[in-house]
Amino acid sequence: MAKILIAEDERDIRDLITFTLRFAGHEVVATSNGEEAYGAAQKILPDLILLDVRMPRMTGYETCEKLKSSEPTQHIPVVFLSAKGQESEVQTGIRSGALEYIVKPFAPDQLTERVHAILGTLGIK
Amino acid sequence: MRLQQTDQEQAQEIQRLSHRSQQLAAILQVQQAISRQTNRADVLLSLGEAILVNLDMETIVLVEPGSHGPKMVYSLGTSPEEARLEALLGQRNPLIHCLQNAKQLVVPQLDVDPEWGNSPLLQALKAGAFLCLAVQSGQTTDLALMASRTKPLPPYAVENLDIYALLAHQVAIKLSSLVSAQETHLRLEEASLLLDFNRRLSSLEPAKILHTLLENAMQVAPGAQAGMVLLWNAGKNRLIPMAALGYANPQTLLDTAFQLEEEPFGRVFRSQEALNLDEVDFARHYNLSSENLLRYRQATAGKLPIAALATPIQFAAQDQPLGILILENFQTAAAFTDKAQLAETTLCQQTALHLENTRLYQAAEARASQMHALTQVAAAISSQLKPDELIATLLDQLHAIVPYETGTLWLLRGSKVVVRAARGFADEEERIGLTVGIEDSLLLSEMISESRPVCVGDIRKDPRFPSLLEPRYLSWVGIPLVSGGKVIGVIALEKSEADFYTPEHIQLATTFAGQAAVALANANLFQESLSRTGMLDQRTQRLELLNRLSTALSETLDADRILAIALHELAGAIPCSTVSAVLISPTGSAQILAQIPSRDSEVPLTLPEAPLFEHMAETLGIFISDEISREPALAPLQGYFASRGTRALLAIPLTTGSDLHGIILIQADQPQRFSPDEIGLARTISNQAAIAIQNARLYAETRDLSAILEQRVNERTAELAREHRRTETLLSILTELSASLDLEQVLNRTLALVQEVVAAGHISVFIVRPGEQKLHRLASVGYAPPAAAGGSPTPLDVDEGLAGWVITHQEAVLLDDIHTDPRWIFLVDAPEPHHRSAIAAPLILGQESLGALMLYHDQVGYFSYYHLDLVQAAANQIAVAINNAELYRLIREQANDLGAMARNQQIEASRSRAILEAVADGVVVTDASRKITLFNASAEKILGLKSSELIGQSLEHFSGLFGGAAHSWMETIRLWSQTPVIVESGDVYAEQIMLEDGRAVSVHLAPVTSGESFLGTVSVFRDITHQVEIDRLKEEFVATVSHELRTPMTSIKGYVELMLMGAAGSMSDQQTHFLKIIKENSDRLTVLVNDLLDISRIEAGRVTLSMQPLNLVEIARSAIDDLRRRSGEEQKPMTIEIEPAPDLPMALGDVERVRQVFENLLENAYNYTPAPGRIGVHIHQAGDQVQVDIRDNGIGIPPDTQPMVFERFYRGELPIVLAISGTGLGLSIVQHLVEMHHGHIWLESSGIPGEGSTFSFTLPVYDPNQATQ
Repeated sequence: MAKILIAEDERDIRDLITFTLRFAGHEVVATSNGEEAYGAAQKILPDLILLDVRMPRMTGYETCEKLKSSEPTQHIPVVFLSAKGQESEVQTGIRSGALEYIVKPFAPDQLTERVHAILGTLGIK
Repeated sequence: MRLQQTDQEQAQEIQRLSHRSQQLAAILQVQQAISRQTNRADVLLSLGEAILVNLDMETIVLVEPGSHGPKMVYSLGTSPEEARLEALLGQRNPLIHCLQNAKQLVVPQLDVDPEWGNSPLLQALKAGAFLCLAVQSGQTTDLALMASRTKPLPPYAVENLDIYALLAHQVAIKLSSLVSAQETHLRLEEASLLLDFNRRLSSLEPAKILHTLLENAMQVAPGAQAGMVLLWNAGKNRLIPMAALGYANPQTLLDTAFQLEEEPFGRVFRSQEALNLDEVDFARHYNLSSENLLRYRQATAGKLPIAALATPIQFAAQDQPLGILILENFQTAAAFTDKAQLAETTLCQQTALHLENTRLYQAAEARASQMHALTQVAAAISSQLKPDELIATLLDQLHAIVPYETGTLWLLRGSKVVVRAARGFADEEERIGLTVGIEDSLLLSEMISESRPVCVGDIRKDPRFPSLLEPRYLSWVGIPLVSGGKVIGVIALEKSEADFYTPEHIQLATTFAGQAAVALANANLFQESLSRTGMLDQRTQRLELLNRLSTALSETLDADRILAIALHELAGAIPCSTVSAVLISPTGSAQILAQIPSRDSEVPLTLPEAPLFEHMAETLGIFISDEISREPALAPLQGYFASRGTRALLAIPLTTGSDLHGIILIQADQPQRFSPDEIGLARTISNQAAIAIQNARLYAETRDLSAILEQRVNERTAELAREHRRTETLLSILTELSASLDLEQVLNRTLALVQEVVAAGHISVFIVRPGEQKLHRLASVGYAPPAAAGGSPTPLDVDEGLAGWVITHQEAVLLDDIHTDPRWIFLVDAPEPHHRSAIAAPLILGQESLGALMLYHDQVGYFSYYHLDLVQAAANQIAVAINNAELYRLIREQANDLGAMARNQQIEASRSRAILEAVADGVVVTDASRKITLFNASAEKILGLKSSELIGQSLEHFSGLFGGAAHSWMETIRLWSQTPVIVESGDVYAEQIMLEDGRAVSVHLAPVTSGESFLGTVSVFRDITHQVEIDRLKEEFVATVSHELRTPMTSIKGYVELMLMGAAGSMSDQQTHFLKIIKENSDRLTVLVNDLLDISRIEAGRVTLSMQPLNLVEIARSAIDDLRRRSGEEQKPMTIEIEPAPDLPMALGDVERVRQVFENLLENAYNYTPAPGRIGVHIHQAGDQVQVDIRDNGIGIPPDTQPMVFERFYRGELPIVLAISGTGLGLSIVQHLVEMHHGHIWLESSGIPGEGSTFSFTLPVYDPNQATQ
């Protein structure tokens, strides 16, 4: 079981992700923008962070860059979940320090599968 | 105090100087004393005395070095009585020191001297002081003198040491000069003695010389009591005493002879060195034979010598001594001093010299008289030129030089010797002619073989002589006569005394024999030359004859005349009765052609066949018969010979090389032997005649040959002249033909030229016009009517008549009479009455006959083959001219056509230009060198540039417009211009450029080519700013829409799936079914959104490819694996296979996009192939592309809808297709992607369901040498 932090401004989707991951047995901390997500990450030091790209207050890219430049959080893997699926957008996400870029829409089991795969490589079950 | 001290010092100094001057004066006195003395003893004595007196000394001791220390010479002055000075000399004293060190020594106060104070000698003398001088000559010290006194000397006497050294040196010089004076005196004495001795010797005979030597020798050596002189006698091999003095019985010695083994004489003689025996050990030193010992004892009256001096009589240049001088002393040992020995040696040398001189003088005198006699004899014998007389006088002459009692002269004849003269025998005359074989006499054969004299001293002792009881002559000498290195005879002399002949005799006799041999040879030569003169005369006559013959023969080239001359000469030169010349024909028959005496009526006379002729033909040798009646070879000719009275025959062949041409028969009417000379002469004359006859024949042949040659030259000259004329004509024709291209004019002129040379009656040119059946007459000259201008058709077909035959067969003909030739056709209405003979020649160019050249004449047989040759050559030229004219016409026509075409093109170009200028798009045209040739008004407007500034500029001026693409733009143009072959129609370089003012312009650049040549480029510019803006907005719209669509899609899809997963609790089948419908449609919507986004981005050119080498098989397998998984999940059985070709190369592409292509095509195949279906993927290389074929056995695509398959949103109308969800964008995307890779995509399908369809696409092969694009 892992501690996963998510940031998603769209409430339905935030709930969907939270539900799906909790359903899969993980502890989920949900935030609705980048700023919140950064603060929470500093506090709880999650195992994995899932970020939306287009969010108010602070975009996913900015949040990722900030997390990667902060000592306590820089080692935490970040995965983007975004409806922006153009190649340039994916590249921007990866450059900002993310491990993966999942394009919306996604199937819940598909998300679970990806998250397990990433946690597996980190040695967290 | 100080002054006192100075005074004292000065007084001492004055005293010292005074002493020194006294000493110097004293030394001067001593010097004067010794310088007056004339011998050594006096010098030494006066030296001692002078020192005693002048140096105020008391005792002087003078010593010289002895073998055991100093030896007393004398002592002077006072000395203590008891002093035994000599006994003390051996002990330590200053004299020993002086002798050893050659140093002067002064000790002024002996009592304080630690070194010499205790010397026993000085103590014995009670000496208080002493000085010691060393007298030195050269390196050795000869004397030492010590002067002493009881009182001491002043201390500064030491300072006089140098004065004493000077004195000692002067004494030494004085002594040395005394020795020299003494030696000089001795030498003078010696020299005067020698002088006297020489004077006495010079006038003496040898015996007296020896006596004088002995006297003087005894005088010089005082120790000599007796002496003798012995001389070496080489003949007796003994030393003979010649003079003796001082012995009791000297004569006894003079009768003795000593052998070399007897000592001491032999030893001195052999060693050539003097022997001085100080103490004679008689038994050892005088080793005499017992006989001689007895004599010696008699001579000395029994006394034995105690000392002896033996000196060789010899001077330096002599090889061995002449003898020995021996002096003896019978009382005292060492009686002979070295000086005496030296003097004896000198005397002996002088004596030897005198003896040798005397001997030489006597020898020279004897030799001179002998030479005088020899010269006289030689003159006498060499003046004798008759051998017999010379031989008779030789022995008499020899007698004047060498005495003999009998003399015999033998001369060599073959292997024998013959007595030719003898003297001193009673039977002299009978001995002459006596012959002895050389082998039979040992002496003769020895002399002759070795060519040297033999001398026998006593014939009784010589085994070579027969032993006679009482031989009358004991001495025998034989001398060979040698001439030119060969022995020609021997002279033998005898004398009754034994050992009479000396080497001088033999030498004289040898010299005489040499002279005699030369004189004999000369006499013989003279005799021979006399006899040769006779022979020479005969030869001269013969040469004259031959010369005459040769002259006569060389004057004629007529064979008969030659024979006559030869026969005439033969008859004159050789004694004979008849001479005839026989000719031998090649068949062997013989015929007399000429003979002497002449019997003209008989010649030529054929002779019967005879073995003689065959024999001579075979051997080519002569035939001689002394008596012909005995010769079988001549049997058939006996009749002929009888008619001539012939008895003897000489037949000489007449030959050249190995052929026998004839025989000369020389016949004599007596049995006769022809001499070799005659035969030789006959042969010579015959050979001369044969050669002359051969020459005559050759001359005749040469004459005939030259006549033939001349005729041939004339013929050839005529031929060349004809050839020349023909060539000239052809040259004229050629000139005419090349002068103009007006065929008619040229032909008329050419025919006239031919006419001039051939003088034909009529000439015509016929030609074949392409496509016409009848022959055309193009030109003509002569009596028939001329051809019409431009030619006129004849009634004849092209293969008809003589002209037709010539054209068809391409062969010229000469007809002597056309009336008799079937090829000639008489035309009914043609006026050709005159033609009788003709020449027809085809006009040939390459393989084609253009026509014929026809020449006619009204005479039968008018034309020759010479004419034919000329006409043929002219025809060839005319053919070329016709062809040239035809070519000229063609070129002119083509030029006209081209002119028209050019005009049309000009009009067309102007029109095109006007159109280009008028179009709305900007158009820029360049030439092959990329220079701008057209820049239309729209281009000016779009690009904002002035046409006038750009026309003529290079296209490179625009490269700035293209920004980063400038390089590929220029590269494309360069590639087109360099390799226009690869340019395909439709090749276009397209680029979109942004201008500085923000406007977007599209450029399409296309090459203009014609065949393989690059003519330039056309660029079309279009302002697409508006269109670009629309595209941008569209894309933005699509991006926004798709994002906005995806967000709700995420929720729908997510929650539906959660529900299906049972996250919201269990659901009925109906609910699950409905939820699946929602899910599928949301999936479809997702795909649609993705495809839309893709296609819009591709079309907007926003998709960039990341090119890399690709393994298509791997990509295909991965896509196939996914599809198989889906097939399994959906439970739709499908066989999917891949067939890669072997050695497949890598392709070049973007891995993700290529994968997208594979997935899309495979998905289509899967979707539209009912289960259980089959899908095959075939990958192979096709040229520089890799081709992928994806084949299915599905529903297929009807041909009429195939062109729309790649259009967007097209999905066909078949219900079966529409039943399957799809966006209709997949194939469009795939097509775009493949073309972005520079590949192609196409499909093949019959449209019949079950036969399926095949989608194929290609990608370029990866080439590692080319940069990735």
